[in-house]
Amino acid sequence: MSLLTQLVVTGIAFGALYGLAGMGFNLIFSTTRMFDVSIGATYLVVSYLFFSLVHDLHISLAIAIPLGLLAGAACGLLFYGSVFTWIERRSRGGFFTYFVASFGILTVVQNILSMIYGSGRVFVGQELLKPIGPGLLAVPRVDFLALAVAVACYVGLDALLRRTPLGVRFRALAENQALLTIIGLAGRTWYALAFALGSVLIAAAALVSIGLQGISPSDGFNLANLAIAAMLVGGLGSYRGAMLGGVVLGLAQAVAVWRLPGAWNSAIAFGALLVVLLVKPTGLLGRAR
Amino acid sequence: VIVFYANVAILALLAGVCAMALNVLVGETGIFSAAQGVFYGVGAYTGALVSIHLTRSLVFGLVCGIVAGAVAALVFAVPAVRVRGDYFIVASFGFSVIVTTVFAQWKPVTGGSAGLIGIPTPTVGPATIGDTGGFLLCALAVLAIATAVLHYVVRRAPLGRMMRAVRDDELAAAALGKSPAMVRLVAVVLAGALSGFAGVVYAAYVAFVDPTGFDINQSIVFLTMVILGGAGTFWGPLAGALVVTFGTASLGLLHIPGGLVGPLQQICLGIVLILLMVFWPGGLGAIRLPRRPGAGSRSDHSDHQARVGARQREDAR
Repeated sequence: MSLLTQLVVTGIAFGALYGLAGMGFNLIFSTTRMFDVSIGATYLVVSYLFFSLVHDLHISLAIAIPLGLLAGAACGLLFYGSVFTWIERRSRGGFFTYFVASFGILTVVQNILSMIYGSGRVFVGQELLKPIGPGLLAVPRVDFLALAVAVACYVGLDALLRRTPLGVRFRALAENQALLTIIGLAGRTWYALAFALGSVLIAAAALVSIGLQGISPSDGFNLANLAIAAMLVGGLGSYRGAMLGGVVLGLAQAVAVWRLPGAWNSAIAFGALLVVLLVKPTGLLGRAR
Repeated sequence: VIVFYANVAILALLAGVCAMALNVLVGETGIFSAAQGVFYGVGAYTGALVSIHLTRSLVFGLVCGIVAGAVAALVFAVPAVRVRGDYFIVASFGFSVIVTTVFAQWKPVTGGSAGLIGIPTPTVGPATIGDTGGFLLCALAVLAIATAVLHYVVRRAPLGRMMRAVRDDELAAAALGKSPAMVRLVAVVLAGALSGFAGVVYAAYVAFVDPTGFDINQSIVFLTMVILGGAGTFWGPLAGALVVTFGTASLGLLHIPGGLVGPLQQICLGIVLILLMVFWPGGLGAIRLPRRPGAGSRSDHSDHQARVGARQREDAR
């Protein structure tokens, strides 16, 4: 299997990861209108918790994975229940207030974790990096795992949004929050649920990503930005757009690795973002505003 | 200790220039940029390269730094101003990652991650600036020039009113024939040029530049200064810069194991940000102080009120 095809597959796997995180961000943002960068903190907490469970305590994956997802939901609820509701009660802040506060959360969590685990990259689940088979199948298993998880989450979220009362409520909040507030159908419970569910998606991204690339404290901010970048590339407010945007960013990174030293890959991904913004500011699937 | 604080004061004043420049974006135009450190860095690298390869003249270096900062800002602004306000910060983060990578990888010019060392001491006319006092004067002069420019542009010239119009109601500004994208572009370029200006003095003073000094963390620190001091107030960002720089430097003086100082500083900044957003979302500059009647800062205050009002209306929608 040629290097390029291998890189493309890896690129799609990373893209699926960014798309997954982008969907989590979008679920929270479109429902609650809170620009939440603390998804990066959730991502870090879940990743390091999973690392400790599997690597230090030797707990089996069957227990560690559900625990990781639960921890994600718990983080989302904790951040929403503490800082976000606190701001909501006191000042009814705008984009700026929530962005800065969630950024504060991310900074605190990131640095506490780097004091505990060190600032280097740690890995777990090396066996996932083994190729599936010879020849055409010489792709690390984790790449397929990433893609499978992302597709499963996308299908599940899509079904939830279309078919369940909760999903209808989320879509209604995304469409017209003011109206729902006036008629009393918006409330903290729904916002909390959006945070919990969005954070589970982030947790899923974290579990996939620790197999793909390990984890280091600076990944939190990076992931939050890549998630939002994926949304920008794909088109704001669209879950399909987030997945597509993620894959575009992932492929851009993969191609960068093909021709340039590895240190360039983030730069190339964000370069792709700026190019898309230049050509089509609403994103690839974006509606005209 | 006095020398230590004189050193810190120079860095604080230069950071103050960047924070005041960033405030043109955050406070006046209503866009959030996490790339201000990059323009500081572009200025610093330009200053370093000019003084190593061309001339030790500080004035020439400063002019080059302004031009380089403005050009870098223009490259960034052309795609970035097309995106809706809230997402500007992501584009700016992306730009910051790209330029930091260039600093770290373009080894023949920037020295790679090792940076550029041995930047010669600068000269102004016949005089050589070698000691801390000289640089302190230099930093003060740069701050004074930047303040004068900002005061003229933001408070006197029509451009400042256009920026606030775009901030408060983009649609209305557009309806009056002012292109919001163009106003943002000019604001970004102005902020970039001023940061580049400060960066030149930084490079001359520290005599060493490397990529880590201008990465995303530095940009975030600038953003913190603006928010702490009060976005949209004139002197707030400078106060924020002084508080943050002296605060973090003093933390460094405590007897904490070396590896923990950085994370602890960051944690303190993070906690400060959270508490600020909960209690004083407008920053320290927005706390009501007893004011002398007729003081010039009254207009700042009403500006700020208008801004808070606009934000609340935006939420209500």
